[in-house]
Amino acid sequence: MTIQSTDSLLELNTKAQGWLRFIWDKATTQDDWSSSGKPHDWWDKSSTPPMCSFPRFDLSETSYALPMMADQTPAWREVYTRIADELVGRYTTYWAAVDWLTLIGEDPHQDQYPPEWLVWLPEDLRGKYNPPGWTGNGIKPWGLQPDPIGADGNLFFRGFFNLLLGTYSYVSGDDKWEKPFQVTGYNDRLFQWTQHSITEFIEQQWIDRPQGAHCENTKIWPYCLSAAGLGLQLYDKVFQGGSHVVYDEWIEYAKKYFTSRDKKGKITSFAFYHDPIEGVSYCPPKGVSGYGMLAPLFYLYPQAPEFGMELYEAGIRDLGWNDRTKSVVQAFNDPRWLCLVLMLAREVGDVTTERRLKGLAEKEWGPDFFADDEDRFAWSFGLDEPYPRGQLNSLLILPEIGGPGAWTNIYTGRKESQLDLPTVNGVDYPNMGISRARNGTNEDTLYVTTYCATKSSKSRKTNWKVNNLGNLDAVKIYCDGTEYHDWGPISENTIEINSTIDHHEFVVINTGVSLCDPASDAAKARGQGSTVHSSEHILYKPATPPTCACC
Amino acid sequence: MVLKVLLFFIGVFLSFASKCIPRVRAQLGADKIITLGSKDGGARSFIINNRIVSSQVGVVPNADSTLIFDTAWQGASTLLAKDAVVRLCAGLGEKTINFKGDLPNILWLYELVMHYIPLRGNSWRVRMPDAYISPSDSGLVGSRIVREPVVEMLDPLWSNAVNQRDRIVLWSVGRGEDVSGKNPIFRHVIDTEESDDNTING
Repeated sequence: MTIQSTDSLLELNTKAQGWLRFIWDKATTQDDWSSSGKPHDWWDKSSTPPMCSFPRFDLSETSYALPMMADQTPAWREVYTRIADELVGRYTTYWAAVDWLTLIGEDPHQDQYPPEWLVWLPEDLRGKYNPPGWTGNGIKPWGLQPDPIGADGNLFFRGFFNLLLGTYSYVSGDDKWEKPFQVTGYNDRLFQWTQHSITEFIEQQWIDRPQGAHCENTKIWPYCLSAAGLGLQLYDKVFQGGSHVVYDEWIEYAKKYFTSRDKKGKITSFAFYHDPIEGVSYCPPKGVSGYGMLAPLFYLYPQAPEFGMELYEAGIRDLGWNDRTKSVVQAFNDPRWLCLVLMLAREVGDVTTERRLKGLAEKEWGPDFFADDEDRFAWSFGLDEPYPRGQLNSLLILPEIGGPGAWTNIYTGRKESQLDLPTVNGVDYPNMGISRARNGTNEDTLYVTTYCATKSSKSRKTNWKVNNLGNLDAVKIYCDGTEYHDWGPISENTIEINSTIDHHEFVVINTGVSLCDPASDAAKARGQGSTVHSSEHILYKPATPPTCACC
Repeated sequence: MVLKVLLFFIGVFLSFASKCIPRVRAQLGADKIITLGSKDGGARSFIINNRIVSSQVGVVPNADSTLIFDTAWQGASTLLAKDAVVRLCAGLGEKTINFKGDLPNILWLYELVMHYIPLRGNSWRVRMPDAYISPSDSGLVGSRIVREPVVEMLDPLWSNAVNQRDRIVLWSVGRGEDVSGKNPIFRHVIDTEESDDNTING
């Protein structure tokens, strides 16, 4: 028997392993996101102020690595599922919607902001206009809208939430958040939603308002609309829906009204946001207008690659970040932009820009393995802070996980569900991790590479399971190239493998693989849009909002 | 000489505007010192203090932003050009302009002054079709939105939220605190060495 070398198979690299270890800590450590509590300090609520300096951006951005990792180890997803579940749970709380629930009325500090924030406002409104990030719930003409999802504005809350919910569905194959759950609103009132009803709301509101829904009252952001669109696209992929057409129509609108071009037809700017009441679109001036063009691309590109590529080229040209003869100029004291562009450069295959920016990131931002035994990985970004920045690291880690096109493939590619094939579970994470778990093309061979995720546990005995196997009499296992016997059946389709917490390469050969078992039937049904209710659900503890007397 | 004169007039204008023009005063909420100059000529520092701008000749140590052109001619032609920000970024990238501090301060100051030069404003006034500018209960989702009367401030009786709001960066900066979490040694201009990571695009 010839065993295929595993070298050619995708594997999580050590940086991705270290990042996974850290976001596991963050997601699974209980903290209190209710109105009487406070998120743990490691949730990033300070990056990219004033627009993104809220902890929910850490929730949504932390999730981006999960589907990419799941595509690298499609036969092992339980850890990604747990993390995604914890992120979704927190997203239902007071602190996730803290801006909509507390930044009420007109901003009383409009004339107090420093120049570095004023530059994000239309120049003739500076000092007398609510800044980006000021949600203004309660202002005229909208009035107070206590539900952070069912609102005229606050698209950036529900749009990113829906994307996160889609991510959960994508990595888990589970229906937990398809069932009713409660979201905390103004004065701790609770509102009931499901993943499907949120999607329906976003889609129908977009049909009503082809210009796009508002984020803050009253600003329309291509950035947030594109994230909402990506959520719809992922929803359609997972559930075979048709909601995304509203974004396709919006793109045509955006080409016409959000974009300006020179006489030769080249894009010269793309509105950062538009205020329909003031009748003003904000975009940075030429020379830094590339920021407006590049900002939404992370979400826009997988949905509209041709227009996205046009924006990318125009944006890079404006900033000059692909020009080897010049230093890289970052107009704003914020690494987010460079993280986004590095990811995009990799995604679109712009090797020149990717090499330049990656070199800069390595030199300036100090890749660092940290914490106990240096099991965790993150970039410090030159900041002397107790915890690495979640929002920025969540973006910068992505090029470490997937190759060119990997991000787009999550949302557009054919759904490659391995949920009905042999699957690894019951792994003692975070002591042991799985860097490679993929069924071979013949579907009768499962390749699994284990690693020690917590160095203090190295060489300890452990066990883990493989389920969805067919005839167990036909199973053979190899470990590090030799036949392995320390395993046994624990049910009709499941085996348990005993091993040590260390780097090992396992090959599970199952010539009797059956695709007719109940688990596979369920998975297939799910792929066709049926609702499957799994029997086991993780109870989410930290995110339970308090019940107030008025409800 | 041209740059010296230009900076002098900018100083005179800002001094006047900070006392008399509400639009300018509204943007002077943060005390700052911004220095512009050239290696072969003079420099002028603009000092914003309590919403009043004054200026003085020379470089102020520890200014929030200091921009020094190689030559006075380059400085004047850059600041007066229609595509000034393009030239500024190009000069920074080519290292013919030296910079220290926070770059957005320069961008802001430039736009503040340019507002008064015809055809130099940067705001993009546009009316887009199908604008949603007043709440509607019709349509597909109107009935799903809970609408309550206009309110001007957070309910003071919701004490938890009132206390928690102080932890929000946007709120705290509005109340006069510094922007937290800023990298004090952030470098706006960086020479790059290409990564030798052979996993790039492969």
